[in-house]
Formats: sequence, C-alpha cells, structure tokens
Amino acid sequence: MTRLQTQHAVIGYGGTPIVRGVDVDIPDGRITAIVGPNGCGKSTLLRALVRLLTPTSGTVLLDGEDIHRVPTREVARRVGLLPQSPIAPAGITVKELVARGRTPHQKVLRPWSAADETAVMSALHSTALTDIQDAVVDELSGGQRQRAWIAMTLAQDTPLMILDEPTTYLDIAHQYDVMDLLHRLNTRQERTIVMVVHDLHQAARYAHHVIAMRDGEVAAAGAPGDVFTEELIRDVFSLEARVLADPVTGTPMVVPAHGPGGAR
Amino acid sequence: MRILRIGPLGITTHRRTFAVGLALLAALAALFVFALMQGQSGISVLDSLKAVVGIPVGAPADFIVGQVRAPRALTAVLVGAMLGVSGAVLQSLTRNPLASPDFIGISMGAGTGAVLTIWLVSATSLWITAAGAVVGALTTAALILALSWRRGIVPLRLILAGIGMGFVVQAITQYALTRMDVHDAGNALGWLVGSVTGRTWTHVTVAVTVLAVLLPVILWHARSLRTLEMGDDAARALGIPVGVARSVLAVCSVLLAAGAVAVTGPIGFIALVAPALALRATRSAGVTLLPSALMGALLLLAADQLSQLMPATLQFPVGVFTAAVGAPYLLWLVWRASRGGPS
Repeated sequence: MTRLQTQHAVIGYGGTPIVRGVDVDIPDGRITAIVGPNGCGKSTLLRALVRLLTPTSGTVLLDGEDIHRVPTREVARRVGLLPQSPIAPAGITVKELVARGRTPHQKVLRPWSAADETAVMSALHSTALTDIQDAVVDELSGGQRQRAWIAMTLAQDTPLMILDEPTTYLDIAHQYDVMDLLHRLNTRQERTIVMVVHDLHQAARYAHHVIAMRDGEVAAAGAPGDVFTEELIRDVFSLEARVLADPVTGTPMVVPAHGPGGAR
Repeated sequence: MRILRIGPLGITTHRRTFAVGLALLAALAALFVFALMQGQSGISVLDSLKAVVGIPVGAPADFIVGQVRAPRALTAVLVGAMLGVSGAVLQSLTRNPLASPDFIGISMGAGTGAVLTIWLVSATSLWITAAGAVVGALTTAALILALSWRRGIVPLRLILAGIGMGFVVQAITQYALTRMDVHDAGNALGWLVGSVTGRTWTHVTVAVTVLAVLLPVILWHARSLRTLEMGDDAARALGIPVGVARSVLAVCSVLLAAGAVAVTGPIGFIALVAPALALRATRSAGVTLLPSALMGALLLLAADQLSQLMPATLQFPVGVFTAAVGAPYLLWLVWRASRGGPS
C-alpha cells in the first residue's frame, strides 16, 4: 500500500527539468531512503513529495488525490517535513520550537489544547529532550538541535515524515543517534519515513526501501539487498566498489574497490 | 515555558510577554495623563479626562485639553503604535533588524506621495494627503521589491535597494518643493519635519481608522508571521500559505507606515527601535506585535513630552528627538553587525 506516490513526475525550477518523469511509490509504514550522486534530483523529488515544488507535468498523489488539490493545511496534517536548513528563531526554547510543529492543527483564536500539549510532550519524550525542554535551541549541540527539529516534525503528528539529509553536519555518533531515533519512530509509532541520505551504509542499514537516482531518473528501487549491487554503484555513482555484508547487521556494505591513491 | 491563557478568546501568550505588555500599558496610561496635565493651567486630572472624552468642564479645559493636548497625545500614541507594528512586521519578514519603513525608503516614499498630492491637487484635506502617502509608499515598496527580487526576497538586497530608493524619492520631494507655490511648500516643509504639534481630532480619526483596519489583519496573520521566521520551506511544510501570508503582511506593514507618515509626517527611528526593545523586554522568540505597538506608542509619546519640557529655544519637533535616540542605536547595530555578532 502506498499513500504517497508520483506518476510520471517532471520537476524543475523552470528551464531544464531536474527530475525527468519518475514513478515512485513510498511504501507505507516503512523507511525509504533516496540516494544518488550530487545533482541527481533527489532533493528536488523530495520537495515535490511535500508540495514545496509543483511538477511541470505528471502528478504527486497523496492518498490517491493530486497533492495540489489538497489544502495546504491538510497536507501539513498528513506529511511532515524536516527541511535541510531550517532557521530557529533567536532565543527560542526547545519546547517552543517543538510546539511550532502544532501549527497546522491550530487556528486563530483557538487555544492551545490538551491534544497539542500531549503531542509536544510525547515528541520531547521520544527524542529524549524532556530534560532540556527549556534550553535555548541556539545553545544546543548539533546533535541535540537536530533532535529538536525532528521533535518539531514529530509534534506535527503526521503519518508521513520526510527528512532532507537529516544527518548531514553531524558527527558519526550523532548520525547514528538520529538514525536509531528514526528507526524507533518507524517501528513503535508506525510512521512512514522518507529521507534523503548521502551515506549508503546508513541507507542500507536503516531503510527498508531504497530509491537510487541518477540524472533525474530512478535507476533502481527496492530492498537494499537488491539495489546495492556492484553494478548499480558503478552505474549510479561511477565508483568501482565491492559490496560486502555488514558484519553486524548483514546488510550490504559498499566499499570502494581501490585503496588510497586511486584506481584511475 | 510559562503559558498564559486569556479567556474565551483563546489567546495564549507567555507570562513574561503578558507582564511586559501590562507594564507598558500602565506606563503609557500614566504618561498620557501626564501629557494632558503638562504645562500651566491648573486643570484637575478628572476635568482633563472628562475633556478628553468630550464632557464639557468649562472654557480653558475644554479647549486646552480637549482640543490641543488630547489630540496631540493621542496622535503620538496611535502613530507610535503604527510605527512599532509596521517595523516589527517588516523586521520579522526580512529577518533583519535594519529593515524598518523609515530606513528602507518606504516612509520617504509616503512623504513624496503626500507632497506630490499637496502640489498637484493643492490638497488641504488630510484624507487626500493620506491617500497620496499610501500611493507613494506602495509604489516605493513595489519598486524596492522589483529592484531587489532575485527568485525571491533577498533581505540584504532589499535593504540596500530601499536605502537607494529612499534617496531617489527624497530627490523627487525636493524637486516638487522647488516647483510648488510658496504657501503650499511652506505647509509641506513643516509637515515633512515630522511632528505631532497642532494635531487635531481629524488626525486622530485618520490614525484610528488606519489602525482599526490593519491591526486586526496583521494579528490574524501573527502565527504565519512567526512561522515564516523559520524559513519558507519549514513554514510551507507547517501548512502556512507562504506567498499569500507574506504579501498580506508586507502590504499591511507598508500601509501602516504610510498612514503614520500621512498623520505626522515622517518620524524616524520609532519603527526601527520599538520592535527591538519589545523583543528584549519580552525575551520573546520571534516577533512580538502588541508589545511592539505599545513600545512604539510609549516611545513617541515620551519623545514628544521630552521635547516639550525643553526650554522654548530648544523645542525641536519630535522627529528630531527620536533621531537623537535612534541614531546611536543604529550605529550600535552596524557596529555589532561589523563584528559579526548575532543580530
């Protein structure tokens, strides 16, 4: 089953399209990773999935309906997005930031409700931020800050969560923190998660479904074990690589086939 | 985070913001009464307040308080509030503390529109001058936007284009002044200084009308404004119709500035300083509209009272006073920005 899909979507910013007619199904209740080299159109596709961009032709379907026919607020109640570089207002506290996630559920002159409070507290709890909820976001470490943003997206309480490079700029321990958090959200709360990631190892470990893109098209899509082959890595990333089994999880692990000094 | 809920309206605010708002309101009320009583005449507080609302209390009070001091003080309060909100919205939309209507040419544009109206139609009605100011401000804002547009609003370009446009429209004003009838030019010049002296109930009516129309619209979009501070992508993902919200807010901000200029002439720095002071006082994360309004009102009324307390030879128009306070703040902002500190 899929609540979110694209049909022959051509997406761009005017001029040459960046994504050229892709059909993508996001499997419900799973973690989907979109991978590909820089400029392959993965972030562009992601932006179209949350309606930040309109396909020039083709459609994005949310629950079978053209996402552009769904009211903005309604989209925001079903699909949450963590953008690549969101801006935290100066001086905002963790809890205030997380509370902003309730925006699509609120109306002018409608008070902060018990449901809002519950969603915020539960988001803080899931991201282990309860103890520092009154800390100022600017003063947090990179990993904590990213968790705060994820908590904001969580408080939005959408069945679908979309994250644009959630681990970029984090050190390796915090990267795995974030990935473990996403994994927990997926298994315990059955959230559908879609993320753009650069690290193939993380994609293979944490995603159930991988979409590999190249030149604005889908080169392969499926389970990590089926997608991450030596042939595909060569094809998509122009890298000669060996694919080994991760000694811990058994998932595919991509290792460049040449040592330091280069192959070419 | 301590949240306060205010009754059936369902308005929520931080306790600190609420407390600061109350304190500002109290200070404003006290200063207003002081403004009514200031000077020699021996009119009691009660008589003064009666005179404000038009209850006859006898010859000197009815005129001195009812027709001179009250409209003047009310004009200062209302225009101060308009400038405070206008600046707060603009600074929030551009995420830049330098973006205030008087700094990026919009107030000058309103001034030019009003002066052109005085020149071309020999207008004496405040409403017609106000219309001219609105047209001038909107035209200037549109030009600034067009000049700085690069696939979206680029705050720094917007501010630079605004400063440039400010000089252009001021040149137009100067030109108009040289071509005008001497009598009209005298009127226009006096008005261009920026002052609340000699303002009447008509001015108060114009100011109330502008505020009554625009402030509710802005408050209605307050949540969108706060969410827009997180970036367009985040705002859109949170269900805010980004384009519509931003346009409505920007137009309201420009109209408020235009209305303020129409009533008092351009008064600098209130719109720049009031939102910043309100932010500091409330320690609010992101724009805080009503405290900015109250702060603006308080600042302008205080500036006007200070200018009246000066010895007669030093009684400058209030705009000169606000500049004296605002200019050091501006320098401090620039100094801090040049040191790469947070803004």
